[in-house]
Amino acid sequence: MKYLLGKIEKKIGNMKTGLALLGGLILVLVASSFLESYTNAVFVDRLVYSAIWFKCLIGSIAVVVIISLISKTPFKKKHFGFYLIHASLILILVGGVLTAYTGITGDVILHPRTFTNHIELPNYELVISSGEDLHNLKPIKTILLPDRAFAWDTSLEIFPQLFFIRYLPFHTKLPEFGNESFESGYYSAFWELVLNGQSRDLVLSNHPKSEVSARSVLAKINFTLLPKVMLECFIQNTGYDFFFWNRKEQKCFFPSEKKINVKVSKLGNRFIEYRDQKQNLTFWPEMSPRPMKDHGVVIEDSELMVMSKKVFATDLDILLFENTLMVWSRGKQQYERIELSKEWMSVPHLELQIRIKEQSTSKPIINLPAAIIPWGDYRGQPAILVRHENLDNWVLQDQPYQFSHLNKLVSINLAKAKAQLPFKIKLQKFETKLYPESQIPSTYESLVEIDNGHLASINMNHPLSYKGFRLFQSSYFETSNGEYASVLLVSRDPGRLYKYLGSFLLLWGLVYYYIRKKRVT
Amino acid sequence: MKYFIFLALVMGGWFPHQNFASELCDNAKIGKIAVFANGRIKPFLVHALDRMMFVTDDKKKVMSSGVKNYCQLSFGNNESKDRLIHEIKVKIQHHDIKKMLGFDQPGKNAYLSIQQFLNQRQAFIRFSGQTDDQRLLATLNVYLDKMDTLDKILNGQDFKIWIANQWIYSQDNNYLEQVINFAPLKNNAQSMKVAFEYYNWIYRPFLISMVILLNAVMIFMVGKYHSWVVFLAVISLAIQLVSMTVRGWVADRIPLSNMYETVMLAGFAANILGILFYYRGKEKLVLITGIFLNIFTLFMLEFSTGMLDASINPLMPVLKNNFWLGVHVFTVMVSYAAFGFSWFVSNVFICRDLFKKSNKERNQETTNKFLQIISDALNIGVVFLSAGILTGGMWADFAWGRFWGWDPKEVWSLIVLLVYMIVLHGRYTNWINQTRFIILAAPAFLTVMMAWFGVNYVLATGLHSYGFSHGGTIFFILFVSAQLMLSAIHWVKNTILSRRSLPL
Repeated sequence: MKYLLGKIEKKIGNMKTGLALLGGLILVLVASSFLESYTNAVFVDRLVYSAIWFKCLIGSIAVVVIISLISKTPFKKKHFGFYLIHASLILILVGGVLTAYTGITGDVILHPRTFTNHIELPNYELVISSGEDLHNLKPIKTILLPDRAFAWDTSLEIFPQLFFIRYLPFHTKLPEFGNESFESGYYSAFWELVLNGQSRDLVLSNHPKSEVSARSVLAKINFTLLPKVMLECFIQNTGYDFFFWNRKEQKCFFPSEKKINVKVSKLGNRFIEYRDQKQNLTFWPEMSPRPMKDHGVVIEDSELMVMSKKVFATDLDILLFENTLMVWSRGKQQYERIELSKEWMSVPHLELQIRIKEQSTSKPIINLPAAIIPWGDYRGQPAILVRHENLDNWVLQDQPYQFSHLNKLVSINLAKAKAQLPFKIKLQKFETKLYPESQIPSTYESLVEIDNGHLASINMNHPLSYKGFRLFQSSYFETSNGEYASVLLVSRDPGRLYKYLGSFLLLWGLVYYYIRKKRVT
Repeated sequence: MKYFIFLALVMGGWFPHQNFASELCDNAKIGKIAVFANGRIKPFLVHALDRMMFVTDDKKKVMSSGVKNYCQLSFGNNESKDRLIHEIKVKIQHHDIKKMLGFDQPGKNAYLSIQQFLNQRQAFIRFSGQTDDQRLLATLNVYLDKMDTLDKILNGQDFKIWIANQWIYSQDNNYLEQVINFAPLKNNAQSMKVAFEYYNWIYRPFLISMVILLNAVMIFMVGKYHSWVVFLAVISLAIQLVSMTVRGWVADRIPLSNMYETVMLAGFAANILGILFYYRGKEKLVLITGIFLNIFTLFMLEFSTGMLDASINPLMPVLKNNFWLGVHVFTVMVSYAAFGFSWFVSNVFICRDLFKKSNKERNQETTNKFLQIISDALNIGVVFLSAGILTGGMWADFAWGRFWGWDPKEVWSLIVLLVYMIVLHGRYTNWINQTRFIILAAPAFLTVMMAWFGVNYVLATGLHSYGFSHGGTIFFILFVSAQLMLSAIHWVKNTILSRRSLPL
């Protein structure tokens, strides 16, 4: 046994191993700090500082330090400085471990005049709750989501027939084709453009189930997606510069076909009065494609629309009749027609090149969560993909997935993990004080009331300590009624004493070691 | 002072029917007037130069006519304001912003008159709506801030003056006669502060200390009179101490809250360390090292204003704790001074090695001397840096509720400590021999530079980046590449060239 220990001591406890590990730690830290300036703190924390491998690296350095301490037994007075320095390092690390695994750090969000004891923890959890109806849901299971930096694929049955498939720690929504639908006659497409030398993406769809619109503005140019069948009406030369469009029938007609008269208002604007089966409609072609009721109210869902060609006769409008592009040419005083395909086409007069990336006449375009690497202030929120009875559903923070199971409502929610304070606290007032004659904040202060009636003021450098918790002023936000809510950082840190003790011992050790060495030399 | 008297004479002759503002602005006393702006009461001179520097970014012009221009912009009549907003130019350095404004020469700065600059407000707002780049956005916000400041200046809303026992905005022209008489605020602490700040600016104490130290270096070169060198160094330190004290008193806090003030303390501490080391070992190299480091930092304070902002600004709320600010920053800066000491001495050794004749053996005595100095400096550095990191942890625990948070400044201070730990442990076990130990102290200091400047100027993220400025990045890159080059040349000469010469 003693022999074995000696061998381990020689192999691991020697300084070479220790310094190699320190060197490795330095490299990791340098890389992380640079990575952080390109991404952000939350991401690097998940990737490095909170990751298991990083903890193992620190742990192995601690092991080397401990073995080196053992190797210097039995106690000799000349090694006192050595013992002090290295033991205090272990003490500080023990404090750190206690903080990480038994401590609580989170936010308490204080809305004015409302008592709360909720702590919002930094990590997220998936909560499965069930009940008779929406208002009587009771949580039956919570799954704490791991601190991951990148997307994580799994297959975990969290409820009968319900699988947790994919976890995106940071996401953004990107447009994608949705499932094929039975409605036809619509068009959805992804375009790629080079506009003024810059590469841009354009996504338009007129499918009713799409989550993107049929109109988009890029660098001041309006792109409008219109049905292909409308193109015929648009290019027909009838003497009119406008036509009517029936959205339901997807057909157009001209004023002359239905013997409608065009009138001119006192201010010189054209208008058309049209008698529908039900009501009188007035169209103002130059103002809006939608008709107005008698008393000037625009009818948003009208089947009948009027399309004025004059409105789009500018340098800043591009009409996309599905894969046919129409743009006004000022020189020729007429619309030019370009057939688009997957090949690059350039648009005359505008510094624009365009091609179709993907198109569909049956699929809508919906925004789906996609994994991203967060950067800057952008934190990105998690998204969870669950598969229920072979259908995929996304669960987001404000978008639970709900279904009924055995006559009960089941809800899958994604939320910040929660903890509770052993007391309740209420915000009396939040105040930002400015330096005189300036807009520079000098202090942020929350006046709070604790449930025992005690009043306290929490501001920067003046936290509140109560029942083992410390509360710090962290941030604030404006509520919907114009009042200020305050965010306090709350911390319960059982490792604190060890860290302070370790710090003092370490300093003592360093000074002792230095003075002793001086005396010896 | 002379400048103002001269101006007053010249301008007085030029305008026989001068309006009140020009009389006021040409008066030498204008700089001393107390104004209330941006969180505190200060001399007009300091406020005017600060504001003009912030708005125009053009140091040369501001130094020559900033006070007068600012005065005219604030107090002048519409006619003179109108003339000045066409005359005074605003410098624009940022590449993308120049491009947005239609300037195509990449190397040159763009200059817009104040009028043109203010006319671009909508363009700046539009541009910030279009970009996702956080740093560009921050720069654009600074320019928008400059426009707001200019508006305030032109409307006379940028500062208040003390007239008839109250602080009022300067556009209130009825009382202006009283301004010039500088009657108010006499015999109280506030007016004392204003006066001290004014003279602390006018007499440029850091420049004087620097000149004294340069004289000390000259005496040192002559040899023999080392006690005179120490005497001059102590005088220079005393002047610096007075100036720092005035600064702290005026700002009403420990003057250790930004890059300017840390550089100020580090040079001061290095000089003191040099004198202390000198009295212990009677080694003249340490004396001159301390003086050189102090000259270096004083030079930075006086002349690299693009990187180090000397203005005294209100403290952000989290830093408002004199005890922790003092203890934490002081310990860290003493350690940086000690590491800087080892850096300089190590470089002296490297240069001696480079320029000595190759056949000459290294003198063991000299090596021991260098070794002694560098180990001493590193030991002090490590003790103080550990203290600095730990007090930083305690302050963070006290103010933010966490001892350690892997913030870039924290991470880099840990890197510095670990690097020096490796060097010291390596020396202890003799893997790093005496010469290598001396030579390694110079490049190891680059980690200090990264923790000190690089985190703020290069990484520019995290909680500690209180001051990002353009000049800092260039300074940092120059420093790092110069040191690496010197170390590399030395390494090449010592290993590759000497190995090749062996068979001969």
